[in-house]
Amino acid sequence: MSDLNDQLMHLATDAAGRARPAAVTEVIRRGNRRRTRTITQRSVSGLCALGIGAAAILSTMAGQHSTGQAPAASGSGTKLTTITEHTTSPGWNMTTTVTYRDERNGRIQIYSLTFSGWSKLGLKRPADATISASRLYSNKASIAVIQMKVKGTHDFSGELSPSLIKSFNSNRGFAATEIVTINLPVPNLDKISGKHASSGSFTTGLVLI
Amino acid sequence: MDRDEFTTFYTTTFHRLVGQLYAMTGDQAEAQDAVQEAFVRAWSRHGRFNRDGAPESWIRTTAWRIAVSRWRRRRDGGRLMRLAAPAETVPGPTPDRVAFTEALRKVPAEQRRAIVLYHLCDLTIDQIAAETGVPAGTVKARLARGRAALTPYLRETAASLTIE
Repeated sequence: MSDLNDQLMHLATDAAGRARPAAVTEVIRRGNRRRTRTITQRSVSGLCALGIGAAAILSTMAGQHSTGQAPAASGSGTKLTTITEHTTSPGWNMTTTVTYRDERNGRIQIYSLTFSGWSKLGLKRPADATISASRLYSNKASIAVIQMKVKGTHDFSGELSPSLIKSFNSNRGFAATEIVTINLPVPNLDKISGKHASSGSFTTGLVLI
Repeated sequence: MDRDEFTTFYTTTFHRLVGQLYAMTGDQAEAQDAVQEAFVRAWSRHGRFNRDGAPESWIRTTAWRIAVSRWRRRRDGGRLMRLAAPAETVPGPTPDRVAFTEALRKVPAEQRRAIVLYHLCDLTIDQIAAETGVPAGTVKARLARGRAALTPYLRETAASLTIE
């Protein structure tokens, strides 16, 4: 008891005996919440910057939105909306087209999402485009990340497959006014100068309005 | 580390880690809160926190940083141990225990941490250096100074406490 090891051991043993751990389920719940919050903060900070640009683009494109007829299966009576966004930067450009229907309950049903473009530098091979979206509702975060295969390197294109669309619409779907971003990984991006050339990927964004 | 592994890890190490953190911080509630929060952070990154195969060390280091961070936030010019709960929070301490606890509280935090890691956690000098992020020589110096400060409160002399 008189040496340092024993003194410390008794001190620690007493404290350990008084410790009252929370239930492991509570620790896991808090851990999950913390992880979601961290991801949200990162996504939102990126999306905020992107959203400003996207909103500006979309505001100038408001007149370019074309609407088509609702599909026969539609029972809501709302029409399909198609948004086409052109993003042009030195060394690359991308055109993204999204067709969707606003269900008027805050939810968006995607019907198609395609993109195509050109890049001075080839895309990474194999390349996966990532669609991401993030929203907050009832103080909870909802993050969606979908990967799509990209065809081509310099002249590239890709689309959200019908099976992914069906699965996504039935599980999460997008919300009205949600910002959707599409990222394409690009190696040696610093060789291209331009405002979009800092993140290692081409990024374009749309607001589903 | 999956859910079952984490549950086992949590239930088998929580009390021990609280004991170690208490010896480092001198505050039972702070030690428990810091360890609890460290486990929450561990689970929030459960795919990555066990990369080096030393999850207990990761929890201990994280809990220590949490405790230090909280202390800095509420610091009003005093030292960590002055803000800690007094010795009467220890149920039924002997006079020797009280004296030792008080002495431990007066040792600077980093010296106290080195002493606890060496004498309580049975880490080597090199392991302590790795966990605390300082050279081995610094660890030895902290141990020597910390022991010197505690010597009057121990019945044995400092000469009997040798460094590896």
